[in-house]
Amino acid sequence: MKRAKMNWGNVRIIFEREVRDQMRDRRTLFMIFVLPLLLYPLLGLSFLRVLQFLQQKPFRVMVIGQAELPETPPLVADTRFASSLFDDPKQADLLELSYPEDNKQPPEKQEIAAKKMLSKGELEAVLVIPANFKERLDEFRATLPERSDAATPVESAKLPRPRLIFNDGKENSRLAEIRLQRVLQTWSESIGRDNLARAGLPEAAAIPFRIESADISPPSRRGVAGWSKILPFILLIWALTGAFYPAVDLCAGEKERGTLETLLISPAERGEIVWGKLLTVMLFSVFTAVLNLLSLGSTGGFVNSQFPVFGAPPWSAMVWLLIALVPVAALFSAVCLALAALARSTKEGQYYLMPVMLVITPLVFVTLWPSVELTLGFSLIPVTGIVLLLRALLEGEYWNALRFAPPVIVVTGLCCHMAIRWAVDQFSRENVLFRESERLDLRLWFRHLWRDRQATPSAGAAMTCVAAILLAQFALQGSMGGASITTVALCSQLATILLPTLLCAWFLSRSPRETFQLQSPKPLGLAGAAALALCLHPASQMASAFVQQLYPVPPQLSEQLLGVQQQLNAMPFWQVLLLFACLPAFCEELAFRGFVMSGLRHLGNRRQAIVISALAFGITHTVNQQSILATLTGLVLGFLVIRGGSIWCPMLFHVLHNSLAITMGQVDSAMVRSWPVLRYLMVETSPSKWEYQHGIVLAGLLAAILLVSGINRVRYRQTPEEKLYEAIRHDASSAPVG
Amino acid sequence: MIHVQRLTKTYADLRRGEFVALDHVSFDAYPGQIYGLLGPNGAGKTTALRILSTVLQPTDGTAEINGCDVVRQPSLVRRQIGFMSANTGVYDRMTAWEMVEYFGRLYGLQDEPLRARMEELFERLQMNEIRDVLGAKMSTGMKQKVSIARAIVHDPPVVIFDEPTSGLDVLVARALLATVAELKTQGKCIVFSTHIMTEVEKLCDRIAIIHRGSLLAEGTLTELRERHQEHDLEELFFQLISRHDEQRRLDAAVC
Repeated sequence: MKRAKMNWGNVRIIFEREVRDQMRDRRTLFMIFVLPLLLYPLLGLSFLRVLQFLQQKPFRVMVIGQAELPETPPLVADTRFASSLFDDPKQADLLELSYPEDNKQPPEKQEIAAKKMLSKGELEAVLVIPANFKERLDEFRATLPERSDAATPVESAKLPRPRLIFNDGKENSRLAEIRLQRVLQTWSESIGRDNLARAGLPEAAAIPFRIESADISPPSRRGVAGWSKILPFILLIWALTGAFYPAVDLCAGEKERGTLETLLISPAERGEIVWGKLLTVMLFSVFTAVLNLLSLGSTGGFVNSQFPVFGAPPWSAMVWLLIALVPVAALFSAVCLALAALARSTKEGQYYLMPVMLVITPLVFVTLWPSVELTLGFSLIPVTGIVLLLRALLEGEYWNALRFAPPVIVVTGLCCHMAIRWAVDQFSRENVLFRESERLDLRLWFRHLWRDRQATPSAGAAMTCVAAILLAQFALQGSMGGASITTVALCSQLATILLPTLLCAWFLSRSPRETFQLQSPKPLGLAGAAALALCLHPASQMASAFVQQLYPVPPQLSEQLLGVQQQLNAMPFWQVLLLFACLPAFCEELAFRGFVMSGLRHLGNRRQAIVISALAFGITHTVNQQSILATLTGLVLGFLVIRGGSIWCPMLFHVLHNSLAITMGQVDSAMVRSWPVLRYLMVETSPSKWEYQHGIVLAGLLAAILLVSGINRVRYRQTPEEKLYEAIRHDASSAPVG
Repeated sequence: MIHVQRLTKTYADLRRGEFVALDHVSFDAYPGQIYGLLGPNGAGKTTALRILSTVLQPTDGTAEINGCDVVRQPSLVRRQIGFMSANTGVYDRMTAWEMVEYFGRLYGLQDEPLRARMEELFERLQMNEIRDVLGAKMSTGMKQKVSIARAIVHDPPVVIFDEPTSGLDVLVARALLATVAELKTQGKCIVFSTHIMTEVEKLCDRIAIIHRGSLLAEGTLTELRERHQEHDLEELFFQLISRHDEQRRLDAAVC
């Protein structure tokens, strides 16, 4: 179908107006321009202040048993530790020493008193030198000169241990403990050196060598690792924030002020309105992120010159950040715009920020995991891919970045496209544009659901069913430990998929026949589905191997799967087919191609219904690798139910698809020997592991494409919403462009 | 010019189940005519006008403006109408001049003709004083003027007014009605919805009385008076409405 031609003149007019409008809004200006310019310098300043405060504050330490300390090497000198124990002698001032007031008291009582002071916060730490420490040390030292001639080692010093008492519940006390440990370690080492000298041994006898580490990074790249993690994070968060507030104002705000309806009556097409607004939101998103980065960069540079932590932020990074910012801003802007269009008011719109953050933040945080690097698998995950690509660029791994840039760009582009389509779609829905606030009354709402349910479920009901399935799966997951594979298979299909679906169908729709698409199929439809399953089988096997290569199964899960495989091998083959081919085909098709698809088709766009139902089908598979494959299969199954006009078509495809996968998974050299025809189809890739030849995969794919294009010509029964959607698109494509 | 045939709109309503906002409403309006939609609040007038302006889609029935279907050819329809509602839809952060200019440009008017048209409109509607005033600082009357200028800047053949005088003081309302009458003399086809009888009596050439989504009566004022043998429009209106409500109660009791 021809797409509506966009009038970019209108987009420009709307864009210019929206930008001017936002520039006149004090709240937006504050969020976007003023806040970043003030925030980081203020944060930097406070950081410096706090740092100074922390570094200058001396911790109070009480030393009990000072008389037990040896003269050499000295540990304390009056109210300070000996300055020779610090790299910088000035640091000795950071530990302020005190001694028990009553020297005559026994050390145990002194310790009890000191502990009381410690818990009251009058002290940060207490150092107890045990009785006879000096005496034992001297005794030990006296034996050392003899030891150089001794043939056998003499028993060790057996010195009593000094004790360090601190309060872990108090931050200052913990810091004092760390500082004290360092001082005492140095002191202990110097006693050791002293002992070695007395024994006439060189220091190298105890410390034969020291490790020397060498940093080969050029000075400009030092500290980049820290920044390469921080900067993409800041970029993403501010690009999102910068997009969110203008988006809410431009959609929910306009709805609230009543100006959106006026704009919708103008000749500007929905797509033009969305693009005009989208470009505005994008502009503000980019500006906010850039200002934040500049402000953070200069503040970071300043703080760093005072207290080097990471090294200066690499200014060259700005170029990469700016390039990456454009697709990031486009993606976030489209998502925010579509969400903001849903909101009835500015206030409601602002509530939507948190869910967006909750989705996006884990995608960013996953990149902070030490083992996560830019690989093909990660580059295919939206947002995560961009962050990792940016990190690679900032760290100077240009070759790696170049290799994975295409998948990141394709995935991000695809997400942008989908988000923009979603936003345009929102602007075409009257129930979104003219939603009215209703008082929430659960009883009334349930009654309305039951009383006004239609023959087939609504799109909302379809999503409720998916949520119910996910919840049932989550609830059952914990209670299946130790169950046999048969029980697991039965429960996971019947209890977590079929039962919620049937309950939803009972409560949210009137006609099981229409909801589950139980009409009898055309023989040609069934034949098409069967042929498609056969043709796509080699490609699906190859896709499965590819996905496992891309996202390797973790060893622990791999072990579990091996256990499952062993149980399967012990089962009769017909039982395996019944449990893993027929049962899932029946339950999952009724759920996803039946209930969910019937509901989603009320959205009016059948392609959208296919994609969403496939995604829902994907996420209900518990192993991630399976989810990806199931989503792809779900696209074919969705296509089949619409064109075939009956649930039996995708069900047949599903049975064959799973049966073939189970059968071919068992092909080994012995099987090939007994079925020589397999030699023409398959090739041994590793010992006793057989895969389809590339030629067969390609031939199967070509045949599948021909089949799909053939099936695509079959007329199908449209829902009223689909008819309307088509009519509107037809009009949009034939409208004159002014 | 405007051809409405069995127009129906239903909503899913939490309390009432399926709520019929518009029930098989049909009427025709022609150029040089002011067609009045008279009905109490919630009668379905705004729903009908929103369908005509393409922002809502009918559940059933058709509506055509200048031969263009509102469902199948919404973009063609939008080019031929000017819409003005009680909710003025004036941008807070735009001046009167900027606002009218914005819509003029969206309607595809070139700079020079647009400027000339705007000068003429600002003069005719006496808006020169508020040319540079921001929407947020305007009174309701000022906003209504801007809204009218915005609706007719592209000189559309069809102008729809949805309760334009609600919330206006007598002076401003009078000026607005004068403008509507003037538009009629220019040969525009005007649909004017209101619940105020005097406005209908003064302005409208034909009247449709709508109540609870149904069209109760339709014709010129004289026709209506003769048909229902009642000279006073207000009386006529109440009779029709109470008869309709009574009939509904009887129907409900039978069910």
